[in-house]
Amino acid sequence: MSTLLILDLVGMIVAMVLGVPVVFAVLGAALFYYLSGDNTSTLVMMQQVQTSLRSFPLLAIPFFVFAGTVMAKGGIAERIIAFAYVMVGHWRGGLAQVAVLNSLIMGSMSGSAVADAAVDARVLVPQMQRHGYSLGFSSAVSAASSLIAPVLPPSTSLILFGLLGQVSVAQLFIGGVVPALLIAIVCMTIVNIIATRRNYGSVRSASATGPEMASAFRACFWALMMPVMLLLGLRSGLFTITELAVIAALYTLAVSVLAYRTVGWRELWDILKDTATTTSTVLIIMGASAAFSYIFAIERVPAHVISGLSAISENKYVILLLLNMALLLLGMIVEGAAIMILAAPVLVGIAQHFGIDPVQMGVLVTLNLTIGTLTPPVGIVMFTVCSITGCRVGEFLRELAPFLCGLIALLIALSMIPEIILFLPHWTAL
Amino acid sequence: MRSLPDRVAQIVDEVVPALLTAFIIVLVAADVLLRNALGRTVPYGIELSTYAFVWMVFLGAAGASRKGVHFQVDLFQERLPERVSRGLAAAAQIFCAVVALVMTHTSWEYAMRSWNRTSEGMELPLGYFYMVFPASFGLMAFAHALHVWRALRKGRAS
Repeated sequence: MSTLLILDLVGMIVAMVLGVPVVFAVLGAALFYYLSGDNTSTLVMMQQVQTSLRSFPLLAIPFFVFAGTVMAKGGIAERIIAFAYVMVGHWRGGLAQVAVLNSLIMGSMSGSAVADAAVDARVLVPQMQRHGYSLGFSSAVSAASSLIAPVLPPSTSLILFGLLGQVSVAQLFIGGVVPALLIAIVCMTIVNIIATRRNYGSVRSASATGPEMASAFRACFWALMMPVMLLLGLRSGLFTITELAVIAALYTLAVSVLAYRTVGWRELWDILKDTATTTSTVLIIMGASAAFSYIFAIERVPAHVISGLSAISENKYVILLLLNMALLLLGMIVEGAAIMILAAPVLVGIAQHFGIDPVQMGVLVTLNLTIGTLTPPVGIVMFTVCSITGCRVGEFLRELAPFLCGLIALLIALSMIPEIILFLPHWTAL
Repeated sequence: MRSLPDRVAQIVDEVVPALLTAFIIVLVAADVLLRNALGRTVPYGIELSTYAFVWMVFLGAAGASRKGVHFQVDLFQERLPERVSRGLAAAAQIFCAVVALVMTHTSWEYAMRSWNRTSEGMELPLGYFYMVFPASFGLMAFAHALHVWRALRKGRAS
């Protein structure tokens, strides 16, 4: 690895930390390299940018973003919260449990931690405070449980990892299901322990009756069918991810327009504008990072990283632990999407060399980088929640600590026992 | 009341990407429907949708520059004294404007070289599709330069 590349990487990270938007920090660093190097041209850089984006499978991202935005703006979130209220409201720390269950269900539709955390922070945190929960705890549980979304289908991170690392997106999607359920269980257990110690009660005096549950289920039946449809579509193997994504987009639109009557022309126009902006801000980073990834290829970075790791150990579990530590630290200072896009091909190379299943690697990296969104300085989920609830970062971090410990313990367990992630993709034979 | 350049920019970097999103959804949905119902596909459907998608991403990114919604880390600025924070924000905007300007030049050169090559399906000169790169980077450079100018005016006024 040349000194030029090391200087370039340091410069890029410093620019990001000083507030330069990620895409321009990456483009600036790539330009610096291409303009300083001997054998490269900026035209090659443009070639990399346009080739990376001119990909039909990538279209799945705006389609799923569209579906998630329709769900968020089409009043579906409120119905799902009402459903979660009926299902777990009678548990200890009932409202916090509602937040976790809501994240699990909403996550299976939106794939976005920020969108999910924002709904919880806006709707559930004020209710939790009225019931005597501390602001820090309410904000922390909203943020921590939102980590379920990026691990569940239709996760944008998993799609990006699959396309960049040439790993089956369908397998990654199925592989994310069990870890997502485990995140929910970890969060619910921690909520239960804290609620018992602080005497946070339930919000319902008794568990719901059969008719109550049926009524709540009916109210959001069409919305709940979307993840089911997605998993069945994946399992059938009849559709590509892009085709499934467009079906999901049309399905959510049909549910919001015809069944719930919450989306009209004006809302649809806003949803289209939001979809374009959200997709552009993520994928322009991908285009910029493609230019940088090519530099990695020129400098044979994957080979250097692999030989460096091999010098430390050939044991895949040691390698996974080292990678997890490095990504956790990096995820705290650099935006997760940028790391994912830059590092996916390198990580798949490492996985192949050390005999790690690429599906396990994809799910681990996604969870790992998503944990970084909870912590300063780049914690986008933390900032979203704190800016909505008005919670101070210090108080948020104090209350987040047990959730963070639980999530990191889960990350280590998923690294050490690959079967937790892999048994479902193997069982469904995707 | 917004100025004419603002309204034109909004049409190019907000309305057009939204329309392109709708176009892509309809095109791919029609393709899936036709393939499964009649065993046929929309002519040039994949090619058109992928080029429309690239246009959407680039024009949308220009809109993100205008609206200042690109992903960025802003924790440190909030903790710095206001003058330093404002200076840092202005420096970041200047950096973005310079990078976007260099990219405008590079992508213009790239687009100019592609007029004699044609797309695979429709066999149209690639320059038509690639002109979105200099156009978008040009808009981004303009947007960031405008942010700097506005920040300077605001600083002088305060």
